[in-house]
Amino acid sequence: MTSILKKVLKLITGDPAAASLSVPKNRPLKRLTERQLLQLESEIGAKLFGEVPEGHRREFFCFDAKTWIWYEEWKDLKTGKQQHSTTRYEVHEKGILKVQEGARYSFIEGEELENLEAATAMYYERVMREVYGFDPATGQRLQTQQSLS
Amino acid sequence: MSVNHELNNGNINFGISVGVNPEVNAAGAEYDRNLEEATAREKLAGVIDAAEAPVSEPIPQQRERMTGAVILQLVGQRGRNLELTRSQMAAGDQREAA
Repeated sequence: MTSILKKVLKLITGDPAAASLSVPKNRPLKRLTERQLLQLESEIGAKLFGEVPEGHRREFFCFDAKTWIWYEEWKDLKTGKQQHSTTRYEVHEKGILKVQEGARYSFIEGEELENLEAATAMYYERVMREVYGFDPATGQRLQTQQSLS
Repeated sequence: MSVNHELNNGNINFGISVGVNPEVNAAGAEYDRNLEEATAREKLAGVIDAAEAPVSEPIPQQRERMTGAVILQLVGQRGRNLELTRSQMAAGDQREAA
């Protein structure tokens, strides 16, 4: 993982203990920065794949228009050392490039591609509704959402 | 047009002869082409609107490629929408705070 990506991840994910950003019901998104909004998105993204195992920390979020990031952190039970893994999915013209540590690059296909599509669909559906209060299908503001503007 | 027995690839088919009238013959050929294209489109249904999809290649290969293209388009679109929404929300909040 490049140092830039490490910095970006730290900036986005921050301190795990302080990572939980809950949206007050009476003031959903006012004065939240893009970084804070990303944290909120990632809270949803982390739960899309089922329960996060104890001792693990997971982040899954859309970093920008062309980048999705999966980050997993856990403690190795044998060595007690903290382990982590970052996978970046980049949208290119010819496909979706999976970038992992150790300069491993590959365009994903088949089941993995379908799984990523499903994950982004669920993420988009929930984030647009629960974080931003828009109907993802129509782009219209949801009636029940608190005013965001 | 008359009902007759037609020899086709060694099998006897009972059907309507379309060989006598050129217009009927042409209409029959067009019907076959349309049916072939419609079948191809049906097989692609749910993946993409295949109205413009070429039907000259075998369906499995075509479907695989179309699926990948559609997924790429969908994932890209979601990313763009999310980035735009996020940045608009943050910008709007900053304007309001100012």
